[in-house]
Amino acid sequence: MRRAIRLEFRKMRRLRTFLITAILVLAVAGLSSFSLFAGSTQESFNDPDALPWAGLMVTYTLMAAMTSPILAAVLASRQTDIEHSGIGWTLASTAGYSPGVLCRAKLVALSAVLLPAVIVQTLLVIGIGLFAGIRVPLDPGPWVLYTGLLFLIDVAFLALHIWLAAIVENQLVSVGVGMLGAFLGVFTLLTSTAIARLIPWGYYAMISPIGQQGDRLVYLTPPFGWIAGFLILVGIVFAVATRRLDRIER
Amino acid sequence: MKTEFVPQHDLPRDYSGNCGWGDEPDRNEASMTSVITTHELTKQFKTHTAVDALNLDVPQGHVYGFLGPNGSGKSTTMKMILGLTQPTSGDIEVLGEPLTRASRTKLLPSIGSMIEAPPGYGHLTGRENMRIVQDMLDLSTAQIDHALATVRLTGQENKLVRNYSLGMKQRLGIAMALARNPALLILDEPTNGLDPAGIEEVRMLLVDLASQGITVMVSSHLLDEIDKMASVLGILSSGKMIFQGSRDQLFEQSVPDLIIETSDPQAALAQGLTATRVPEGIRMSGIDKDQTAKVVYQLAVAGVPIYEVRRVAHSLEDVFMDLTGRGGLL
Repeated sequence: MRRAIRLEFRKMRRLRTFLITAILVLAVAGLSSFSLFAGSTQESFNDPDALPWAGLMVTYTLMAAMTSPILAAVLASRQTDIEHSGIGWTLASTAGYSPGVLCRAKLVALSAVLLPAVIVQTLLVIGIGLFAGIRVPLDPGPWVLYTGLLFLIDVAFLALHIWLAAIVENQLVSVGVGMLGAFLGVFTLLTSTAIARLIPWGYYAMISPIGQQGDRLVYLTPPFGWIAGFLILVGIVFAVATRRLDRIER
Repeated sequence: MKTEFVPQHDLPRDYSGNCGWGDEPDRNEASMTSVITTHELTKQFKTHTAVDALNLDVPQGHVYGFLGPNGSGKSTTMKMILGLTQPTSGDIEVLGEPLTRASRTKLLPSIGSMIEAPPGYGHLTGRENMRIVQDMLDLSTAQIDHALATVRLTGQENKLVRNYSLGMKQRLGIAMALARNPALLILDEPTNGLDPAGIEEVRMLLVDLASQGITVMVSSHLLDEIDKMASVLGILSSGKMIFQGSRDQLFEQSVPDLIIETSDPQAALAQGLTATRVPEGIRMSGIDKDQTAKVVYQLAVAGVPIYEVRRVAHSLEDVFMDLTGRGGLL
């Protein structure tokens, strides 16, 4: 498996995986922080009761829910499409690497790219917040928690898109599903948790540690049980689905 | 001794695929070991049988030409031999071992292959593609360099594969198959889409590899290509093996028509021969040497003037067409 993962990094060359990731990270960080430069927002930067960091996180969760499904779809699609166009499935099979192994290796390799990207993304948002003048001390707990959960949900969608890109050669399908996911991700931020938990992309909303109580923003504890259940379910489905891929005769 | 005349085309043909290799070619006895054997190999898809009770026998150190019209089951057979497709029934033995899930892992490093289309990641260079193969199989850089040199891609290996010509892609695919120093090379239509020079190049390469002791199984629907490189032929039609053996044995399967040149074809036909009239005399189908002698004797005794007796020039393609029922072979 380790060798298969190393091979995936070799294949990433010239796929612009790192460039695409960097562009989306910068876009999320930029769009999340955009409102910080509005005069009305800046008035609350020194008021602990106004929770300026929580306000910043709200826009961050919105932007992340909007872009993360697309990023996962694009990265997975590019990394998997090369196996269709390059007859890579057959090449690997004749060397003893089944399609399932390839898909699992792709998931690990892309997750390794995504982990630092999500961390840098969060740090950029915080950095821009400090640069914009937020003087209220930062409570790192919700940010660390959100960053960790965002990464895990991203990994879950990478798995979905790798599987989808492997079984459907037309990559428009995988990217199209990603776009739909982006819409649903934003939509579920505006709906109740009961609906969000039933929609896979709703988990981008479920992991948010910020909620609204009346007119005020409040820190919440995300529903860990549901999130863990979703991640475990995706893990099981991915394991079974990639095993079944080995039985597809190309 | 009286010989009864029976036209050859009325005789039952033995297309069971159990022909021996005869005197073809100049190999020692040890080289007659089979590298691939299949027993009643069958692959059934939902609506049709792609491969039907195939008994394949690929001898060591030969170029085995696997011929058949498009859709005759060549690629499916090759995929089954490589373990890429599961047979519905039947057994496969490769390099002396029954092909199973467990043995496949052990066998794969000894089998180079290129199935249906040449592999190669277009966004990577030829060298980078080879490095992937190197990593996959834990090969040395020397093996990679040797494979690239063998297919004459040295100097072109730093170009992106997407910029390669079809011929270069085919050669890269063969290099990927060769890099592991295989005992057996399985190539599915390796000359597909190549120009005549490219075809000749691949042909020379495969003959050269066989001379080094590598068994090469190569499929094609183009008779001409295979004829010039294969020492053993297997012909598939609608999933069934209709011939297996040497080129000479293939010719023996089909006797060319006999032309008897005479100024009096009417008299010749009056002797009760199954023949057709042609401008130069009469034409008879499917009669062997003994029967020819008998016919000539019969006509001579009857006083029919005979100026010449000759066989119609018969190409391998004619034989082939006879066997496959003109099933689309070129």
